[in-house]
Amino acid sequence: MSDHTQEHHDHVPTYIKLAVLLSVVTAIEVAILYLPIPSALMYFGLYGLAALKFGYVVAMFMHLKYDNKILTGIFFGGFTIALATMMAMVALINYQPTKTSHYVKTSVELAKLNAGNPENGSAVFMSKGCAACHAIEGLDGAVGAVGPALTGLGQRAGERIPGKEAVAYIRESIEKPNEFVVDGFAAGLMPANLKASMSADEYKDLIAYLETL
Amino acid sequence: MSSAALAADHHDEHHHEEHSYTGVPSKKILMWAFLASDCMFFGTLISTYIIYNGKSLVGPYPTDPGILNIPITTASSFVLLMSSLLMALTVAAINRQDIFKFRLWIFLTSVFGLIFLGFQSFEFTEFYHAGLRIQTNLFGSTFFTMTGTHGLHVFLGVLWLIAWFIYSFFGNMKDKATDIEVAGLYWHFVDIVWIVIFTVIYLAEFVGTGAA
Repeated sequence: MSDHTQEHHDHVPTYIKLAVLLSVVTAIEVAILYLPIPSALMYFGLYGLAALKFGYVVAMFMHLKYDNKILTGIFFGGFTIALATMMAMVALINYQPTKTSHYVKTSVELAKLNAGNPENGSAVFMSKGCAACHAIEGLDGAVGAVGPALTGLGQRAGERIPGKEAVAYIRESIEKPNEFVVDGFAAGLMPANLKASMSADEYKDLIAYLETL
Repeated sequence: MSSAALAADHHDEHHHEEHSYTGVPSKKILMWAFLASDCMFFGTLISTYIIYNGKSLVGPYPTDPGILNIPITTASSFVLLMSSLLMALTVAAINRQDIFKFRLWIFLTSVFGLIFLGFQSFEFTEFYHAGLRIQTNLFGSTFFTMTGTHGLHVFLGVLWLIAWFIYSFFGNMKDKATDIEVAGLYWHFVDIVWIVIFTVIYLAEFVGTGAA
């Protein structure tokens, strides 16, 4: 029994050293984010250090280093299948041989892709007849006075309904024109089916254009 | 001491336990097999997060102010790492049949687990106030499902450890070393899953942004 006691006493300093090491490695991981190094090197460092921590905890705290090798086999068998499945999923999910859709990596790229082109929007505005009722300064032919003038809409839109952002307000005004009617104008005059009269791209361009007003 | 000697030592120590034909206690084999399967469970949740990362159509996005918080998560990761040390000390204590130390370490391990859960509750509440719910966008649904599943693992681990802490006042702990070791394996596993989540979900998100 004295042998056992000795053995386990011997382990405690190792555990403490390991805990210190793990803390230092975690601190280095966070520090890496602030270093002026290329992104690829950052990923390499972060994943490498995470793997190091993972390995040490499994080998020492979980005792796999000293235990029967069959346990290592069981665990890393499952772990390898899991890791391989993950990598395959992540790698293949965006694999599109025919390139029928766009691949974006970040939400910023996606927002760019989804954003309409305001320069085409004014043409949409004219061609769909909006100008008959709505005036816009600086846009030839847009002189209608049945509905509210849209000059400065981009500024006003976000303040019309508390909690509703400008884009959401503009979309609502087109898709459900009677939901909110500007003071001094009658409800029911604006057609509610305008969105159906244009393609998805035209609609995006129109919204993008109205936002710039 | 060589690893062979240590392995032999362990073999001796558990002679009163039920062993499989491999000489390893069945409970330990079962736990390792469960952990192997849990790798696949978390692997799916983490890869789903990675796949949908950056595909949310509306905010809040991960790097928005008030969302992923590196200083706070570094602190909670540290707490969980230290709880692993405490768990290792717990197992060492029960192997020596040092009941006083066993109770101290297992109690502190549970407390550290609860502190980690406290950090997570704080984080979830912050996200909620920043407008991120599980149904808000792809980021919200994949993030909360993954970290919530991990939090549930921690919570079950805390219950397990507290149960042993209470048991130690009423039951005989003499032949319970393997049971504690098995609970410890589960606890350490929850820690290594967090090591992966912390790096892949939190730190990697800020690569190239210049500052966390």
